[in-house]
Amino acid sequence: MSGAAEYTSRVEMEHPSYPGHHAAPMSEEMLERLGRIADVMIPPETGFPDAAHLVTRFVSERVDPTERDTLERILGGIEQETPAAITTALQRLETEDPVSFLELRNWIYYGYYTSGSVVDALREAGSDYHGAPQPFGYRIEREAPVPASPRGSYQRTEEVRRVLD
Amino acid sequence: MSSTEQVDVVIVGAGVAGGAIAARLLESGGVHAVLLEQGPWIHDVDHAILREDWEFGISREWSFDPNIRRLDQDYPVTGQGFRPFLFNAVGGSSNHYAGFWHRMKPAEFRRGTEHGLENSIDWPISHEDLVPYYEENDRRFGISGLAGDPSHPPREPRQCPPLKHGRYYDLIAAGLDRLGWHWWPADNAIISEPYRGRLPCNHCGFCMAGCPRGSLGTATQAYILPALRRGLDLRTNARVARITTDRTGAVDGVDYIDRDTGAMHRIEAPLVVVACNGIGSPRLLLNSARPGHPDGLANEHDQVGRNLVTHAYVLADIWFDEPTEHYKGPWGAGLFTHEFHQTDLSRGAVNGMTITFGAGWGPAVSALGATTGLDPTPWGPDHRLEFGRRFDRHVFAAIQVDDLPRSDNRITLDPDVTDSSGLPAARRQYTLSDNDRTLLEFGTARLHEIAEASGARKVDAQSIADGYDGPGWHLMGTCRMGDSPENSVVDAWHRAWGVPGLVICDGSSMTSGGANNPTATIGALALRCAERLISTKYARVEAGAGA
Repeated sequence: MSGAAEYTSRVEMEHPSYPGHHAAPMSEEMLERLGRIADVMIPPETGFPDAAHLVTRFVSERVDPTERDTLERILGGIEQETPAAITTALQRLETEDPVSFLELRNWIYYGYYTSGSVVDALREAGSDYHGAPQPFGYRIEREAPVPASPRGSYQRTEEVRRVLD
Repeated sequence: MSSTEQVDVVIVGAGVAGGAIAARLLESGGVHAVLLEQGPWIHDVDHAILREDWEFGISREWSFDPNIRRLDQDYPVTGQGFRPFLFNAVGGSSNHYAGFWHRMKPAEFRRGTEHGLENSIDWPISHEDLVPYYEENDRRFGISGLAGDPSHPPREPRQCPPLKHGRYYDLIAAGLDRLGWHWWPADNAIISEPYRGRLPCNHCGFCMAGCPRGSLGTATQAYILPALRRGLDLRTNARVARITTDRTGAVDGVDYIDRDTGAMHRIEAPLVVVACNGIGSPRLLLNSARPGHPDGLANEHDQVGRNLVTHAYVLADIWFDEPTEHYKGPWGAGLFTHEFHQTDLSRGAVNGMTITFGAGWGPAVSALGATTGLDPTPWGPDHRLEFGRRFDRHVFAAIQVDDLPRSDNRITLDPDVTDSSGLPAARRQYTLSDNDRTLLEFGTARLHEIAEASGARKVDAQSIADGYDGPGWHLMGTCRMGDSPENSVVDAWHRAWGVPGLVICDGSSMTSGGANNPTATIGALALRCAERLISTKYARVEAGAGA
């Protein structure tokens, strides 16, 4: 998630059993702010978990120090508390600083839609998506169709000719 | 120097090419070969595809791009023009690839004869030369597919019948049938039935996140594990700093860094095989500059790193109003059309393209606008409704063009950036030719027609109007084969011009890229190269000799 331009040679894994978890501490204030923004971007919906808790947990477990600093800088510009004011602030960020907006949105969308409880809600809503692809996979009974009327050709090596003068 | 030893052959890079060569040499017996890999082993349970947050994992620590992963075993690839996708580990980039399994067609070996545009030259070998090695490589990997495609030369039966896919496949196939255009079920290096003790595909989804089930054929399964059982000397976390030469200019060994300890080791060998991919191989040759080779090894004619071809791409998302089951089935490709694969000057360009259709990701990437991200789910009051129009409604498409080799499309060394061992990083430079642009624009127009015929709601296709930053999945041409040191780096047997004992075999050896995913060709080239090494008893001969 952090900029590729600032290449560093080693990713510190603070929790080796959880790859990608760095748990660089974010302040309570920033986490609360992130939660309020998540609930505005992904509004509550009957049958689905709210975004705030899922997103703040996801982010707080995974950010590394560089990502945390970037995210806190972005959140620092959105100190509003009411949904209407947050909406206005997000609209402004999206227009004036699209790179920061994308960073914020990526964390929120990834945080929400990779959650097991959201997957459960999708299944309750009728989907058979089951989250992590492995180990279970999907049963597909239907054979893949084949071309109704096969067509096509190729040039043999000895048939290749100059096409340009 | 912490240690010095002597062996018969050093192979650098444990991907498909290095693995295939190592395996064949071990099978022939009587040779001490060492395989050096700067990355580690990846255990089956390491892959992100087992994790709840797998989509996020692929975007970050399991990214295809080493500049995003930022792992110790990676090297930075600075510069611009495309996104560099490669993997440094045992098995190389086959740890995380689609397994889409094309062969080059005969005409694609003859672009010099056909048009000679930019730096296009004929391969010094033909399709027919590679056929036996294509077949053998297929048997090693296990290929699923359907015989009878009239757009390809006849071939031996695949090892497994075609794979099954989500509903997206049926929708696109019906559209192509309506148009009356060529299409065919894609060959994939993903087994659909048990094969040589491996489990068949269970249609779990995103193969490019790795396949701990083992259904996706990798260099590790096909070559490296069998070679280890024969006693292969494989050394991981072993980063080659330079290839060295003797006073005659012939190769005499390598110096490598043990990344675990930082110690430098030396291996003396009369034969060194470089198989580090289209970025890593020229980087190593350039990093091996020494008196006698001031511009890098095998670079007397300034050809190392040039003529980079990556396939010019337009990626697209096709959206439907009905379920597509994009999260089911291999990824891997579902189907492709070669309706526009051959040169047709009425398009205003030479060469051709493959248009491929495949599955997608999960809900997070759907929310973010799928492959292109051009139409992410809006935030705010309509978010839930709009998410429902994206998840399970998506098809991936790729227009893949046989890009022209150009002198200035190249890999060089970055003068300022280094890897974790202090070795200069690679720098990339790549721009599309007018021919590439014409083909991509033509292909994009055809893709819209396919989508419309398939009943799609809309297409989001990447634009090349404001610049190009396509996917560098296929890294080719930078040490290409040819019949002259003035226009190539190696000869028909992968022997470097002017440096006896130096062999280069991987995607960099490919003279052109065709409009085809290259792994089948890279494996076939490696088997052919290995057979030559064996039949000539590892003779350290000049390029061009006895060809």
